[in-house]
Amino acid sequence: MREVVIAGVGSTAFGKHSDRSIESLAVSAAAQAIAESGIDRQRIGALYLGNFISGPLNGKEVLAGIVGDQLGLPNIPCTKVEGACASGGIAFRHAWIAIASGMCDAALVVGVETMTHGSTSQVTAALNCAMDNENDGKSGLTFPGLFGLAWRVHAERYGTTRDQVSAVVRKNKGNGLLNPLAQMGKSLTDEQIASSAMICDPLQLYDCCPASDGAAAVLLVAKSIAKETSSVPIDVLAAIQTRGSARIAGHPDLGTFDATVSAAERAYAQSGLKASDIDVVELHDCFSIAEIIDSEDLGLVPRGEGAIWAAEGRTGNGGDVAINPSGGLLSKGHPVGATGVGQIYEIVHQLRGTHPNQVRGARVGMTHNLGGTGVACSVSILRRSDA
Amino acid sequence: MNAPVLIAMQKCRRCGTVDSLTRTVCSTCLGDAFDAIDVAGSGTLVSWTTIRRAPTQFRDDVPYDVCIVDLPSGHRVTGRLTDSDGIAVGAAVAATELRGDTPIFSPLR
Repeated sequence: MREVVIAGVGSTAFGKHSDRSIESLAVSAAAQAIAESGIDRQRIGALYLGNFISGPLNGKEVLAGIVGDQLGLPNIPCTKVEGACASGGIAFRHAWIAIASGMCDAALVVGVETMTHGSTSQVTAALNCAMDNENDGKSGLTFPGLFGLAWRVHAERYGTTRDQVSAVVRKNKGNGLLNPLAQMGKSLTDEQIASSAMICDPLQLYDCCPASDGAAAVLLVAKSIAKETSSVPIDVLAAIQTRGSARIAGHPDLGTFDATVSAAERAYAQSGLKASDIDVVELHDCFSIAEIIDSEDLGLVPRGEGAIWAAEGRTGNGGDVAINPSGGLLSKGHPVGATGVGQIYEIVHQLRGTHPNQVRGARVGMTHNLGGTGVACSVSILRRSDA
Repeated sequence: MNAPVLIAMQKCRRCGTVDSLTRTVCSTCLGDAFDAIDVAGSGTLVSWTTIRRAPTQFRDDVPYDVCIVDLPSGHRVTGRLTDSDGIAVGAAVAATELRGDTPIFSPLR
């Protein structure tokens, strides 16, 4: 396998873009990534586009071909990949494979979603496509509901409290205030969080990420041509994808996601690094309790101590390991197919030292993207080339 | 209390694996012949949550409780929960009816 580096990144703001088409957002982010890399478009040998629900919500498919055409790319394979909320991370891994395998020297990754134009019932119905609707869906379970179930299991086992979970909300909403791309940064008190509307007990309104529009893009190249690029190259040390149970009752333990645990183990093995080497992480906090579970599943925090670390500020910027300094899904927003690529965008800026909420001295970063009811997961580990 | 309602499962004719789902092939051996069996719908509450914002088709049910239950047969199933006031993880529950394929559990008190 060849070594792969990130040569350019681009992103729109995440939030409401009622005046923009889904392909327009994708093209903006992609053009930014190509321009930043300084790589001639004729050298791009593949395009992978992560998107979840452009069909149900926009009536649009073949988005990868449409975006490739609008970018004036050569006659190359343009492929849309779908893995619910992990679509973006999966697209990134496929582009990595294309270069690592020697199939091409440069590959473009785009993640995109538009959701805010849909009614709540349309968006809920579209999101529920990511559930096993022959089984779990029939009970009336929803995605917030899954994390309500997980919260109860975590609380029963480890004594996790409302205020400990609120520490995640306060941190991520606060981080969002520092990120100009974030949809809803906010300064919140424990009292405001605890008095917000109950959604799926014990999950409340501020525990949930918003629906968002947005796009992000990454240009990957073989390390052998990295010297031709105009930005600080970032090495891709691991790009992993795994599968977990397709249904909720198939998870042997609701307090952990197997797909995350196995993806993290393989990412550490592929990179030759360990959890304590990670300086900054963008992980899949679709709900506040998810950040606590993810931080344990990724091995960043000892099992059962995710809530304690959050409450003690050990996952804040300046703590033991900085988790979601972008604001995460809770505050940056969650344009589903764009999220995993947006996480790479954030980590690349952290490693270049150019992030608006910079983690001082960040050399190694991780991203974690989880799809469906834990059925798909991607994890990557990135490092500054000169680190 | 009446006996709990039975929950339908399928047993692979080739390897004997019992699955709580309707499958096309057995995920253990890829066998494609099954016998329908029923298991007693009583077990232990793993977790539950109250759904207050529901998908359109369940909007009339709001609020309702969804639960995960471990059956003594070793199977874990998703269902609805009624009468959840004061209930705790680990409580003994039993299915009192089926709504479509979904078992409706109540606490054994």
